[in-house]
Amino acid sequence: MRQCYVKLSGILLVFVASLSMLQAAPPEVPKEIKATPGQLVRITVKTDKKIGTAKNFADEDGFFGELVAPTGQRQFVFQPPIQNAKSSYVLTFWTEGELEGSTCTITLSGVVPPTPPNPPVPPDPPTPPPIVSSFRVIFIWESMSTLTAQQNSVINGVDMANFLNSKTTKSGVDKGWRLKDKDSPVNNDTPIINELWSSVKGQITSTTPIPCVAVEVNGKVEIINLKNTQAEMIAEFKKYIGEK
Amino acid sequence: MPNMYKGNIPILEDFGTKRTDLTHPKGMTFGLVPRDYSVDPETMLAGPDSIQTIDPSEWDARYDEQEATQSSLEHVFLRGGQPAFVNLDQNGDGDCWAYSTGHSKMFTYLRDQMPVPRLNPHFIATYLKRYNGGWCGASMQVITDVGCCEEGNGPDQWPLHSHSIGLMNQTRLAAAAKNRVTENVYDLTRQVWDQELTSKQLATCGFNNIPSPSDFNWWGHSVCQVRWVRIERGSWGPLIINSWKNWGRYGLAVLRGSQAIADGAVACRY
Repeated sequence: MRQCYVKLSGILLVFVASLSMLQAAPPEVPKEIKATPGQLVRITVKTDKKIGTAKNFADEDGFFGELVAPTGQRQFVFQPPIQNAKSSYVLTFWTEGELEGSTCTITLSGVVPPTPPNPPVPPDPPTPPPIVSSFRVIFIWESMSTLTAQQNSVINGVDMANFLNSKTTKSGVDKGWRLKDKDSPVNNDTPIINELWSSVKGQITSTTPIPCVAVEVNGKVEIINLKNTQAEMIAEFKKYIGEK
Repeated sequence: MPNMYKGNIPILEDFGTKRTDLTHPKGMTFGLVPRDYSVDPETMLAGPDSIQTIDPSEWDARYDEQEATQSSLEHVFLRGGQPAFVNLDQNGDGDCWAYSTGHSKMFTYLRDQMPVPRLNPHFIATYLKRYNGGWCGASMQVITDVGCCEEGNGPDQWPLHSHSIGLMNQTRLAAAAKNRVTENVYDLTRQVWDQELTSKQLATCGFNNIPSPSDFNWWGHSVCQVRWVRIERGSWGPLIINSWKNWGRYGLAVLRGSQAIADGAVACRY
């Protein structure tokens, strides 16, 4: 019995001694290193054992690498970014066989806080469309001059007719647009058109290009050039009534 | 050769002395009397010397452009699938020479987007006291100087198909004046011109949306040219509107051949 106990104690001591040899200590590292943005710092880890590392930042947020070191130590470098650096970075080192690890905190001074994004600029409030109480059009031509095919299309085309029929201001069922020879009298149409035509004729001079177009909006009359296509002419009319 | 324009407007052929149901339907009257130059001389109407005629080499492009943009008088008249108005009806009286002019004035109103009154060309014949026929230039002279009443039974209107001279009074003359053709009318078919020039002038008026009353001696009839149309490649003729009820397509037909050139024609500007 006594021989077994001694043998058993020996085994126990050897086991305890073996356990002590297997449980390694965390590596010795500086607890804190002060740095500035962009500054390269060296971290010396005193150990000759295998170690593992960890960091609390992504690769693109700071440079972390290892140098060739003398025996008995490991040397690492860290460099924070110049701009948009954090205020601190944490590096962790483990010795093989231990779980506690040692941390080294790189504390930065002179960190410029990131520029906040430009606040969104509120868009300009849209210009309210003009209130159109009346919109009338008179195409002016010389009936015995030969129109070009294009001019005839702009004045008499179906797209133009559909647009003007829907957009010009009617007087009852009477349309709000006309085609008039530049010499047409001012008394053979409806009263509203007669009045408008009288105003338009007063603006026609010897230099007014014929054919042309008179546009009336809210009582104001303007004579403009005939465009090359129905689409262009319609687009021009839309400007007068605040449409796109 | 096609016998229909666009599939639904009849084409009147070069008939010579032939008569058909289309050219001489039963019961229809005519009324054209060839122009008497001793009564209506060459100079009674202005010559279109200032018209820049459109050369035949351009006709195809012009016609195609009008078709693409639906911008001819034919299109304006038929816009929306229905005619803008029912064609006038001369009924049993030989007043075609006045009706062709009445139609032309109505077409100028239509072209210019004005309200279109239904005119009564019996007023014109009655004013001239001409009940045995005439030619389009004579009626155009009246509608230029005097005008034309609207059709109706009101005190300022002219009753349908009436030749009652007793109705001619100041009230009706004043109302007629509202429908005057107000600018110079051009004579497109002077004797001194050949048919080629007449064709060019009529074609130009057609492409410019100028309606043209036109007389055809072979037909003994006067109608209004609405447009100059391509029947098929290389073949052209006037699209006309007749003053016969329930004839053609909404009163429309196309003339083709050598007899499609008017013997008398005038241009109704506005």
